Formats: sequence, structure tokens, C-alpha cells
Amino acid sequence: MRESRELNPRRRPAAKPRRGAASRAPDHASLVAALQALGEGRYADVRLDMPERGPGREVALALQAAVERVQADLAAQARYADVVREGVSEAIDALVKLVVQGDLSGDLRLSVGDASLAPLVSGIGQIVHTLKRFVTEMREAALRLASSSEQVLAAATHSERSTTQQAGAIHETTATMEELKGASQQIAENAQMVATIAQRALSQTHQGESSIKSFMESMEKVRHNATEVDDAIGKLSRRVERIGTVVEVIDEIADRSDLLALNAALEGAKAGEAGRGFSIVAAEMRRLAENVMESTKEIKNLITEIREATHAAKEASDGNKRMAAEGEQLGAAAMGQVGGILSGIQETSDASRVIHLATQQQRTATEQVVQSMGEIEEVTRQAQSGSKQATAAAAELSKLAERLAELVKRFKVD
Amino acid sequence: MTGAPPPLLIFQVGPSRFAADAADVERIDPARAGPRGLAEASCLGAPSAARCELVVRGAESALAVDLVLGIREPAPDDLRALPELAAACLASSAVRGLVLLDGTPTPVIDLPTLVCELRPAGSAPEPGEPHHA
Amino acid sequence: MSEGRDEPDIPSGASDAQLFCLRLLGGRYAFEASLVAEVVRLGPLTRLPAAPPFLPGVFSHRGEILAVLDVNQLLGMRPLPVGAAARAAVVRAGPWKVAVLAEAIEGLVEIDRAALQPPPAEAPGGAAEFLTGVARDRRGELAVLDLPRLVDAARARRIAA
Repeated sequence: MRESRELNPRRRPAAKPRRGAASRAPDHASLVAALQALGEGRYADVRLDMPERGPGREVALALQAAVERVQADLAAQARYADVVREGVSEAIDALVKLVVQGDLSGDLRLSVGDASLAPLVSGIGQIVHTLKRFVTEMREAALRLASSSEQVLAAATHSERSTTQQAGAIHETTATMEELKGASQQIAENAQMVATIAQRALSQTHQGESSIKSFMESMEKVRHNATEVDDAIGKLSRRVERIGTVVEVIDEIADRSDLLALNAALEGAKAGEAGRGFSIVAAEMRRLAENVMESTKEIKNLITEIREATHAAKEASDGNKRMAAEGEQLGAAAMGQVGGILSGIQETSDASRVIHLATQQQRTATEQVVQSMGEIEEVTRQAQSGSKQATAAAAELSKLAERLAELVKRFKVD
Repeated sequence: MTGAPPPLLIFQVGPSRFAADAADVERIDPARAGPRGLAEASCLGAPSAARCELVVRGAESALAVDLVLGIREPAPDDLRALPELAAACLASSAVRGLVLLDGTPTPVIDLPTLVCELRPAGSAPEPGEPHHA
Repeated sequence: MSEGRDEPDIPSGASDAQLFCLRLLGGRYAFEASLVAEVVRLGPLTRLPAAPPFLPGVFSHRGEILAVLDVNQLLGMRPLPVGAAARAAVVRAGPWKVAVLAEAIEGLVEIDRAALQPPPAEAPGGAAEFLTGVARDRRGELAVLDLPRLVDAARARRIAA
């Protein structure tokens, strides 16, 4: 782009003398016009008639030489300007490259076409250098920022963590307190339950008491019944004994009869013929006695059986009586125990009431604690959220720093 | 025997009751703790508790008995002789007869003879002639 | 009460022997019925000191004191029971009046003398020497005892012992 149209010295040939204008001396007016045009820079309008001789010729020649000189100077300057322009373009290009591609590495390679460009080049070099420095600083700063933001993040995270931990701990405490509250509530409820259970146990024990009482009554009845049975057995025994006695008497009589018969037979034998009838009667009596003794033997066996059965019944009845007595004892013991239970329940009831009251109080205290803990927790939560925010901010910052670092990294400095 | 029978001391050795002429009993002593005069049981049997001793008149030894039941004066009819076969078969001559005490025949013992029989040097006694009291 | 009769009275049939049978020595033994005075129930026995085993004791019967003879023990056999129901036959055997203890008392039996067999060589308890014969009736076998000799032997044994 070397187009600069301001000066086209080459296009216009230098003013040529006009033909026809014979040796006339340039005229004053055309000279002035030419000079004016020159002075105005209208180099194309600088026309001179060139006399062939004379003093005007010298002027014209001088003027022509001057114009040519100016034109040459101008051309040279134009050419110089072009060079500079090119150099500057190059510089600009380089800068642009720098800016766009961020390539700060290396030195600026500029072909210094003209010594006058040197300051420009050095100026640009300085700019680049400064830019380099700045970018380096920025990079460092960005890195530092990144690391700081990391630290902040870490700190924030740590803080968040610790606040989380703290929050957690507090939460735990609160939870524990809640549990305690719950437990004390449970205790209170349990105490209530205990009281209720105690009440129920009390009523059941009363029931138990009454059932023990009825058990004892039934034992009493058994014993009474056993006594009745005893009496019945006693009666039976006495009757059996009576029968036994009667049987024994019969037996005795039969035995005596037998003896009598035996002796009668003896006497009859001794009496000889006279005693024969006697002997027969005696024999009959003996037979009778034997029969009776057979029967009595049977009855005696029967009596023995009855006695044994009676004995067994008596034993059973005694067993019943013993059992009833034992039962009564057990019942009495159970009654005692029930009494103990009752008083124990009463105590429990009282105790549970006391517990209830105590737990109520505790519950209030616990509630207070829980409340306080709640407040603490709230604060902690806020702190937590605050630290979360801080963390978030730090994270954000960190991200930004990263981006910046990324950006800065694009500028190569080495 | 003529005349009123003498009072009899009734005593018990083990389960058995006996009678003896009260005049033959010097005194009744409580049982001695130490060794007794009688080395062995008499033909009356061994006392179970030996709570007292009958000191026999004229003898050096005493008879250990379980109980002394008292003194009875039997009616003459109550004194009986031993049945002949029994009298002939008994190995001791100390049994002199029987006395009916409340209808129960009770041996009447001659105490001096009894303690005599128990002396170690005492030979087996001859069955004595049946005594009729 | 000495009514010693040597010959038994025979109310019916001269050949019949009137015997009194009782159970002892594990069998049926009989002796002359005329020896038997009475059949009694043993009362409570009074033991006699220094008495031989076959004399378990004495008892009172109708005011009379009788000695009891246990033939079993005399002949070395198991003692006869002497409970309240025990029975004895009061016999006069020679000079001795004694209550012969028995397991049971059958009573009078009549045996045809001709039917009497000689006694066996051996008998339980060595009773053979006291048997005069054996017989059989509708109830079974029975042995006839010479009771007086038996009682004499009792006394003799006492001496021998």
C-alpha cells in the first residue's frame, strides 16, 4: 500500500519550455504564476516558458532546477515516507500479531529501513517489553490470585468443614439433647406408664388377692370336706369295727361250739352206747360250727378288705387334708406376698409419681437446653451457610482466577 | 404249805413277771453303775434296763431286775404247784411253784437258790422234786 | 382226775379203735381217745424259766394249771403256733397230765384195728419209734402215736440234754 497520491511527481513531467516562445524572456507574470504554483504546491501548474537565451533562461533554468530539485526532494521524501510507512505498518502488524496472538516471546523483528525509525522501533520494543513485564506480572498475580483463592477456598472449605463439623457437633448435641428430651419425655411417659401399669397391677393384684382369697376358701372347703369325709370314714370304720366285733363274737361262739362238740363227742364215746345219740348230736353241732366258722371267715376277709379300703380312703382324705392345709399355707403365703406386692405397687405408684414429677421437671430443663441448643444450632447453621457462601465465593473467585490465568497464559513470555 | 402264804415280792425281768418270797429280799438297791454282782443273766432272762437290784438275804450277790412291781399277799388258793411234767423238766430248782396273780400264773422263784445257781462254781442244778406249795 | 384207762371203750364194733386225731408233725396223728380229757383253747401262756423248748409254757384252764407240750419241738421240728386260736388236747399220759399242742384238732376217728398197718421205719422228726401203726380213713393217712411213751421220752430227753 504504497499509495499515496499526494505527490505524483513522476507523472508530470517537468515544465518544458514552450515552443514558440522564442527567446523571449519569461515574463514576469508567468514567473510569478509558476512560483505561486510552486509555493502552493501545485507542482503540475508550474509551467515555465523557457527562453532560449537570455537572462530569463537562467532564471527559468534555475527555477526548473529548483522545481526539479523540489520534485526530487519530494519524491525522495515520498519514498522515505513510504519506507516509514512500511516500517510502521510492519510495526503495527507486529503489534497486532502480538496483541491478537499474544506472542510476546522473542524480540520485535523490525527491519529498520530508516534510522529515523529507530526510536519508533525502540519505542515499540519498549512497549513490548513493558507489555511482557506487565503480562508476566499479571500472570504471576493471576497465579498468586489463583493460589490465594485456592487457599481461600481451602480455608473456606476448611471453615465450612469445621463449621460443618461444628454444625454437625452441635447438631449432634442438639440431636442428643433432642433424644434426651425424647428420652425424658419417654421417661415421663414411662413414668406415666409405670404409674398406669402400677395402677393396673394394683387392680390386678386386688383381683389376685380376691382370687387367692377364693382359693383359700376353696381350700377351706376342701379341708372342711375332708373333715366331713373323715367323719364319714370314721363312721364307716366304727360300723366296720362293730361288724368285726359281732363277727368275732360269732366266731368265738362257733369256735366254742366246736370245742363243745368235740368234748361232747368224747364224753359220748366214753359213755358208750348211751352216749351214741349224744355223739351224733355232737357231730352235727360240729358241722354247724364249722359252717358258721366258714361264713365268719368270709366275713372276716370282707372286713379286712373294707378296713383296707377305709384305710386308703382315710389316707386319701388325710392327703386331701394335708393338701388343703398346705394349700391354705400357700394361700396365706401368697396373701402375704400379695400384700407385699400391693405395698410394693403402692410404693412404685408413689415412686412413679415422683419419677413423673421429676421427669416433668427434667423435661422442662431439657426443653430449655434443647431450645438453647436450637439457637446455637441456628447460629451455627448461619455460620455454616455463611461459610458456604464464603466457600462459594471463594470457589467463584478461584474459577475466575483460573480463567484469568488461562487468559494470561496465552501471552507467551518465554 | 399251811398257814397264810408269805407276802411275795413281784418283779419283772424283761417281759416276764416273777414272784419271790419277800423275806428273801434284803433290800432293793438302785442299779449299780459298775460291774454287777451277777456276771450273767439268770434263768429268769436278761434284764433290758436293769434299773434295780434285789439284794438277796444271805447271799453276796444281787439280782438285777427291770421293775419291782410291789408286794402281794396271795390267797392260799392262788398258790399252785408246778405241773408235774414241767417240774420234771425244768433245768433250775429255783422255780418253786406258781402263784395266780389276777388269774395269771406267775412263777415263784426261790431267790437264794437262784443266786446260788449263778455262782461260777455252781454246777448244773438237778431237777428238783416237784414241790407242792 | 386220774381216770387212766388202758383199754379204749368200743361203743360200736369191737374191732374199731377209737382214736383221737389231731394235726401235728405236718400230718395226721392220732392216739387212744380215752387218753383225751378235753379239748381246749390255749389261754395266754406263762413261760417257765429254765424250761425245755418243747415246754413252751403253762396256762390256766378252769382254775387248773396245765403244762403245754409241743410235740414238734420235742422231735426237732418247726414249733407249733401258740397263738390265741391255738388248740390243745388235754391228755393223761401215764402220770402226766399235759396239754398237747396241735395245729388243728380233727376229733374222734374210728379205725378198724385190723386195718392198722405197721408203722414205717422212718417218720418225720424221728417219730417212728413212737408210732404204733398207720391207718387210712376217708380223710387220708394217719399215724397212731403211743402218747405215754412220747411223754416219757420227753422227760428222758430233758435228762439227756
